[in-house]
Amino acid sequence: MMPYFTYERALRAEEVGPALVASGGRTRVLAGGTELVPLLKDRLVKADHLVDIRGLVDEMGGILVGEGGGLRVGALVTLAELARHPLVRANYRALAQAAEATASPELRNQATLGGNLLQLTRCEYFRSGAPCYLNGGQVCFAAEGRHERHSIYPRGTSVSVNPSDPATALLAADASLEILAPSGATRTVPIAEALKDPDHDDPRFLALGEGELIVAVVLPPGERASAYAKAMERADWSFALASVAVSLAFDGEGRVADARVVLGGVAGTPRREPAVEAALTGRRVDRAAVVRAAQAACQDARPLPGNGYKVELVRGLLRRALSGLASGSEGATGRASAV
Amino acid sequence: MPRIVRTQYEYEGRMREQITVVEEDDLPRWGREAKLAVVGRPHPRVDGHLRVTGAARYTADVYLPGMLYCKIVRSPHARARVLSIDASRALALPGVRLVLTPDDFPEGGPVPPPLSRDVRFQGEEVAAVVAEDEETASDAAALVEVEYEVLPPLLSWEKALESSEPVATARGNVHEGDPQVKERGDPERGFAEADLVLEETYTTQTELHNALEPHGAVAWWDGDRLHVWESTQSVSGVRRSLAKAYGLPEEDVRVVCEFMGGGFGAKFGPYRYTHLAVFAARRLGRPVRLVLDRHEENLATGNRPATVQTLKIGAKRDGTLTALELTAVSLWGAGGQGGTVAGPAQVQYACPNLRTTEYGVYVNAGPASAFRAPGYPEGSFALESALDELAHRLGLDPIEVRRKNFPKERPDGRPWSQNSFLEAYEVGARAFGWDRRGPAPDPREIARRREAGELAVVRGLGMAAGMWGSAGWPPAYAWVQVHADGTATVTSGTQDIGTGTKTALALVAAEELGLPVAAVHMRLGDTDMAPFGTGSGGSGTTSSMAPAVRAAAADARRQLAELLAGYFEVRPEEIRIREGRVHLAEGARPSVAVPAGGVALAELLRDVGPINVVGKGGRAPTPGDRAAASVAVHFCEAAVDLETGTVRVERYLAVHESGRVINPLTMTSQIQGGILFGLGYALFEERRLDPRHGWVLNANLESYKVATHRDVPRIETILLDRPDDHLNNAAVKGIGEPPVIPVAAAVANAVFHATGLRFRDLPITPAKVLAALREVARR
Amino acid sequence: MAVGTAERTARPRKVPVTLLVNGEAREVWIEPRRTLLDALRVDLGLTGTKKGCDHGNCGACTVLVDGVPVYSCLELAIAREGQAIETIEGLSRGGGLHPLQKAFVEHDAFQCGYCTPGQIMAAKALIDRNPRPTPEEVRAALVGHLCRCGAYAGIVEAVVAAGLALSGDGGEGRPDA
Repeated sequence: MMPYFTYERALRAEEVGPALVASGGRTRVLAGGTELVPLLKDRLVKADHLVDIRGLVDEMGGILVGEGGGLRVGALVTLAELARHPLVRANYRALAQAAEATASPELRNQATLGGNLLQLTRCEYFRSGAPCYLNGGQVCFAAEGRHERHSIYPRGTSVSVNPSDPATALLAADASLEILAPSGATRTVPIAEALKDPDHDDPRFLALGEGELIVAVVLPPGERASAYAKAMERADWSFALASVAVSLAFDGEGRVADARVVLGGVAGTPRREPAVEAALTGRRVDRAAVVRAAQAACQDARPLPGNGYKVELVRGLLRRALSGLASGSEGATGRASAV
Repeated sequence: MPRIVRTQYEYEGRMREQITVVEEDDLPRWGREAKLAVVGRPHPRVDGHLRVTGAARYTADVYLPGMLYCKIVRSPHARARVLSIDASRALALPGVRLVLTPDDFPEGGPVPPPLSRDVRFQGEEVAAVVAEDEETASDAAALVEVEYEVLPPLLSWEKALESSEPVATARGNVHEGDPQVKERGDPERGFAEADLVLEETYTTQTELHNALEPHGAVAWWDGDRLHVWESTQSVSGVRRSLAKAYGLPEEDVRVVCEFMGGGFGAKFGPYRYTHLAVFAARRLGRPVRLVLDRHEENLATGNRPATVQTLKIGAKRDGTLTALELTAVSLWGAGGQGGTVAGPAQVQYACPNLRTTEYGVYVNAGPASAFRAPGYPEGSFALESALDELAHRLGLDPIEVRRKNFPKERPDGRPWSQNSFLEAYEVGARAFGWDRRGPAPDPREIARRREAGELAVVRGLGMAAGMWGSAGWPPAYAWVQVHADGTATVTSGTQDIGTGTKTALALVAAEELGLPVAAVHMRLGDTDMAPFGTGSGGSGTTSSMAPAVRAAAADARRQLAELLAGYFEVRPEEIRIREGRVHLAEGARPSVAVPAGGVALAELLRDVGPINVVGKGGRAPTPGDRAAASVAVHFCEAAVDLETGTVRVERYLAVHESGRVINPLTMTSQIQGGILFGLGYALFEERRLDPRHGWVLNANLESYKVATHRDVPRIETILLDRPDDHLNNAAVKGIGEPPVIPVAAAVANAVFHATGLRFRDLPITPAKVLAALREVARR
Repeated sequence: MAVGTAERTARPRKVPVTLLVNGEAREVWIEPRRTLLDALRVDLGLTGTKKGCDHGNCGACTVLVDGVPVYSCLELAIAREGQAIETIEGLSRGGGLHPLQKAFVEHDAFQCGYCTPGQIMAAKALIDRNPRPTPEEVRAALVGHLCRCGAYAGIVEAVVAAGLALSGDGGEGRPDA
């Protein structure tokens, strides 16, 4: 059961930030509720007051074609809307796949893209209320305990991994976040710069200032082939053990002109793999290139005692995703409709 | 005539003896030659319309006027001593009615104390609050301040065996202080005679029940009469326990469980939460509801305990077993009780020399409980994997090895009433296409081709067998009342926990009464005005209750025939009732003419007026001279994704013999459900504990993985309908548990056949598959 | 034991909320923290919608909001004021069973039945927009519904059959398994 709070519906996005700042952290933003409601029930976050922003669709909803052909995806767009949008499926296939691979249909109907990016770690210690760094304590229990699902690039005080499937695909797509400050000013930040490891002071995976709201996610134009591959223990409805998002631009001869390869579920942020990108660039995507590129992944990983399997897993996922984008294959056109 | 007997029967792998009142019947048994009109045909559930409309009322749906809500305060520590409890802030909250602490429940009282000062597992009950609504109860529980002295938990079985200090229970760390040892023949000599001796260690994880309806109770005292709605597998059992605990005549306790959202062994009771609700309801004079949440459910309501099993097998070159030795450690948590892990090794094969040594070890973790075939899936994983290894090492077909060691009688010397293993092997192998199974590959080759990008998915076939001894038991009673509208009501203090009991018993009653199934009303799940019915456990509900219902229905039919004989002025033996219509035997000379198609019973009785036909029936003892065997032979085709390490079962075939089939529709559902349970156990279900603090890390349904729609293979079931009429008058045995037993081994054997990699540690996760592939690649 | 002495005071913390459930406007007085699930079950007595985990991990609490299936345990009732909410109780109004309900019974698409209302509501949303789903489409649409009894095969058969019955197809052109 959640503790008591009061509730209001926000009428304008500009009003939300100042209200958050004024509350000194006791007001929380409610959108899809799929993250906040369980956190409140488990008393992992506290709130005296909720501001429901779900009605702010004029400012924060909708998928619009932006200048130069990219897309502006409102932060309130649900994962279901994102996954089925024809332009997302056509031009940002990995993102559509990542959205569709997230959670269950009901959760995708409820969860918003902004909320997905702002979800907290799925670390079982944190989620079960253990007094760890992210819960205000001074220890990371996972590092010494069970960490099969944790980072193979441990950094700082937490070994959490970013659990978001879309975040991984968005980094591969070189997306940016449109952020509204409490002052009313809007800034646009590449997602690569906004992503961060969670820490004691701020358990989130995005660097947002106090009272800042994600208003939209901006996808740059460009004809690229992309794919998302995800591994889970059961067949569906799970967070990724690891995932990869690959986005390739081909030259006129079917060679990779530009590669963006991102690993999910292995570190505190989705992680670009320059070594894999280099192994692909300038080549046709054939079996030899796929094998070589996959082997280049995670060379610098420092797994914990219980999660070394993720290195093998990432390489296998890369082979799978890249094989689907092999030169001349349907996936390489970037226009395949099947997700 | 009812009489008192001393009877023995097998319950979940253990022999039980009890003194009980039984009623014999002189009914002809429904053996192989019996021609039955209703029994054996698929029939949808008689209460289905209630379950699909939301009208079915489960315990969790019971909200009474004036009801209060109780919330338990649980220890966050796996081992601790409660130093003090300060409830003042909780009590100051408007709407809070009561805070209970261990002081309210003195040791040695009639009720086992439901709150503890000595905490022995995370989630143990320490205090409880009662409030006007659930939110307030939850707020108040968070305000109860408990001061703990936190102690280091005992979590490893090695330390538990070494330590003499009683840590995980007050009476020690090993159940009964010593292992249970069973021996036959001369194992040492058997191993000496073997051509091949194989010794391996198998480990299995802790599995959580996660019935979708949580445990819960609603209690209300109507003066000195106690009403309890409980989500239970045994309304009669809960009534008996509560009556004893509160010093009440059983008639003054009413226990209700009309609909039940799954139990799987963990819901008998009464449990601590029941006693808290009952106690608080009496104190406050209002109904009190205590329904657990998912987190509590996964901390404190039971589990299938983890095991470590070392199995040594000796065999001749032709596969004949010469000796079996099993040492099994089962981690029962803090004072729990697990099953018989050695059961499969003891009874499934004809091995002359055997030693099994079983330790039930207590640790500071949630107590184990019964869980769908307690001990057997664990033991079967080791035994049936080992036989597969043995067959591989000897170059024999795994089925051939099993045939070779078919036990002609139960190794304790009793002949089987029947044992269909040989038939099941043959039928299953043929239906599955077992003969197309080739040799397992070299795992190094698999790993090499994987890294070369040549091979992404490999497939393999595996099989395993399992058995379960259950043919029901007394006492089990039923009443069958026939109404003047031509319908009948079956009443018994048993319950339908979702297995289809109501439907199966309706078919039995309809068959015996000669009524259509639609004319039979089922009144189960309420102890008021009902005779004692059995608990739903040990796969024994149908085999215990069907004979009683049959006897009661036959009694009612006899009474009805006597009534009707008077109407027609014929002898009662000349009355026939079929599909609700009354006919007369050939040659009968009635005073009232009967048309060719008979007369509808309802029509006939309408003129007669009120009637008082109540049949009663009880169950005869199960004969002790023969052993029951429900058998399961399973075949599995698994795909191993070498890129991700995930195992997907694609095709599954299950052959089952459990005596007479009452309702093939619901029986097939039971089997499919059991297989899914087994698949989750094989592949991803696992309670994870922090190794230092003993915290349960995944006491939820997010990271405790239960199979989804997409984890379901194509499952084919073959029911061998072989009435087993030595055991009871309905010739039925149990089916609830057998389908779970062989699954994990069948999957592991298929994974071996696909990859050449042997997994002896459940569950077979991507992490383990990938680690094994990496390991062989390095060799 | 200690008995609470603080008198239950009038609780201005509750607010009136009008929920549009199964076509009927129903006013409840609830705290803002009341989930839609608890409002349906406790305040409106509609206990057909089940609570299995209360955390969006099982699917038993699924209802339709404006025709879209959602987990009602993750929704605040107050936030869904005025929207059309459909529960299992709304499916069979007027006596007869909905074709989905009939098919669930015929195909033995449940054992204990606790997950069934959620499965059926999600299935309704599916066949309302795609009356002839393939078995794989059914599995994809219902993957967010755990059935611990393992009645999945029957559920998929039932949904396919109900779709065909609703679209007036007697079985021709039935999608392959």
